[in-house]
Amino acid sequence: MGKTLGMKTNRRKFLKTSAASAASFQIVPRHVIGGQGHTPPSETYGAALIGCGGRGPGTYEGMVRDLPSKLVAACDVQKVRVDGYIKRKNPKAKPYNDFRKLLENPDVDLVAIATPPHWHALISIAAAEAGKDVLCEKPMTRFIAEGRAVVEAFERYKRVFQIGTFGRFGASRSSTSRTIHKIMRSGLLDPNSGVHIKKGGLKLHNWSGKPGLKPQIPSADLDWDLYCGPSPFKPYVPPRVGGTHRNYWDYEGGGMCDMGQHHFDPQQWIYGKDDTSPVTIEAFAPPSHPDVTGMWAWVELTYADGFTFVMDSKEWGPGYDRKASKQVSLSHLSEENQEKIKAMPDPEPLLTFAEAVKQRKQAGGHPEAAHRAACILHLANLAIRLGRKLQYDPEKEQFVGDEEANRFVNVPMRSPWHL
Amino acid sequence: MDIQPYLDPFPLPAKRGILSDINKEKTEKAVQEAMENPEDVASQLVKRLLDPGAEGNDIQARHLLHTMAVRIPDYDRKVNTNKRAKFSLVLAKTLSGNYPDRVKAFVIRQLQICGREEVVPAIGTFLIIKGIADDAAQALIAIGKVSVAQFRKALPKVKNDLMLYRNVLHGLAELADESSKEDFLEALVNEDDECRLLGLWGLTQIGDPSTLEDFLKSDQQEKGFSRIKAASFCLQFAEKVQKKDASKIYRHLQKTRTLPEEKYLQQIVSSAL
Repeated sequence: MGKTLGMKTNRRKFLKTSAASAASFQIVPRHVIGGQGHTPPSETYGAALIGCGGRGPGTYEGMVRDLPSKLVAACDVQKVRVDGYIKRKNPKAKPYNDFRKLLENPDVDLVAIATPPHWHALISIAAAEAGKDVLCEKPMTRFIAEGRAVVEAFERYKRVFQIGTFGRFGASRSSTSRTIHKIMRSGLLDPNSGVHIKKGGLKLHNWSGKPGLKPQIPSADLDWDLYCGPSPFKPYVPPRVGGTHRNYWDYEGGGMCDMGQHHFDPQQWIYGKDDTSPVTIEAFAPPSHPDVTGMWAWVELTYADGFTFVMDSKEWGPGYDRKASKQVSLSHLSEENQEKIKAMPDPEPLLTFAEAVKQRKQAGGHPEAAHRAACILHLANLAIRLGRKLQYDPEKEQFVGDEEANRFVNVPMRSPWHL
Repeated sequence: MDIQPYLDPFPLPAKRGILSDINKEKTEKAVQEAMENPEDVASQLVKRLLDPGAEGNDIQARHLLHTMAVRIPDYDRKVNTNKRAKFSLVLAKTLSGNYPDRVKAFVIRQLQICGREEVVPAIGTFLIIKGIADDAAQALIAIGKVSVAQFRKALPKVKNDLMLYRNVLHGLAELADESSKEDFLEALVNEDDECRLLGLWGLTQIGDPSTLEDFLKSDQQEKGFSRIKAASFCLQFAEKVQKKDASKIYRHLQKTRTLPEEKYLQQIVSSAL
């Protein structure tokens, strides 16, 4: 990792190492240290789930795959959910309503986070601060600055983080993908006219919101204040809770954020963009509603080297026709440069969460990569919401010459929550 | 003026209650026309906003007003007008009108998007009003450092109300206001753990070594999750100061984080020293 604590992170240096994906932390996990009341390394990891509804149980199982573990704690703002989960999984596990209390529990080594995304960053950061390793559901964050804060926290605490999407592992095992990855990382393709178009699969209609619903009183079982957390405190309407939270800008960001990280995280690895973000973003979309997510036709995101990602919704408006799909290949290079690529070593294999936890190394879906993949979605959604072409500086992580757009990069949180 | 022609192209919920039947060409045209006279349109639109629990719907009015707030800064940049400021001032003026709190909160949220210095005083008045103070605080934080004076002005008025006090402390900390150093120090001895953490965070944000002694004294009082957060503030503070002061912080953590479950912190500190 190379960072000396006590000095501000040298981001470029960090990215260079983190993008390689297997840098050692040099710090052993808390449970390995052992001590009174702690499980020795030969036994099991204490595991916990925060957010027991919807994807929660699946996220938990994904986290503990290939790790000797037992559920020691679970948490949800809805008591019935946490009680039900514990009853099914391990009646001896401790139930919590507030994640902060769960993180105090010294028996917890690993935390699976499956809350709605407006909580992902804050809970991930708090878990790292409490010395836990984390597997967090996608999308990683609700806005861009959250992702940078997660990266910095996991670097500061040398904890393992894996985002809850795994397509990049399969992609990294494909020889074609590895060749593209090497071409892209080599810098030999200049200019880069590659275009990857994702057609459909972003669930616009599924995750568009219903505006104008009349407020209701939440059930006594639900801690509505804690559910809203860092997001604006709004009158309760039932779709704000459950899978339909995706329909609200306050919590997620529609089908773009629900499915986007699945689609673009593997592509980001293949095209060697784990350490950067697009520089121009343009969308074809109608005016966006202030509260609920809605329709859009396409979004075009171009990186500094010219490489382009396109989302073509296929669910509303005209299809994308500005560029044709164009895969990067060896044939785009001179013979001399093709030989250079062939001589390059393959990228290091990506480590699963279990391997990363055991080896104290970065997981394949590490914070920087997960953050950059989430940024693709956030940038696309902002182009849709703001209705203008955006220029973005991937190093500063700010829009260029657009003060108001930058207000969506780091959205103020409700007191007392903050990054 | 009659704003209905601008509203009509905006959709009402269609099948399944979503806004799927939206026409880009017609809505964009309506926005363009509304932008010709944004002040009048804005004041008319606010009159159409409803409390969320009231009869009727204001879906189109909210949609258009939000679109104008989102688009007007760029419109200003492209055609070199001062419409953004005028539009924002009209919205700010409505905040003193007789509208429901949730309507005012919506207007404040639009000012969070398009307002600048000109609307800060109008929003600042809500920092002392329960139920709307957090909307005001978030808008002011988004607008930036020019909002500090509003938080400072509100601070003495909210000290007897825990939620409002937290909200104002949070704003000053988020804006890293150096002139609030004494107020952050004062918060360190508050009986509310959130206030103490906000005090520690505020001091971390400004990173003034002269506050270290009080900062570290307060840190060691914390228990449970507050102790975890306080250690994080210590590490972040150390990243902001000179090596000598950073070492002091690391040694403090080395001395105080001695529980078995805090050995990961000992590891971090050892590698830092």
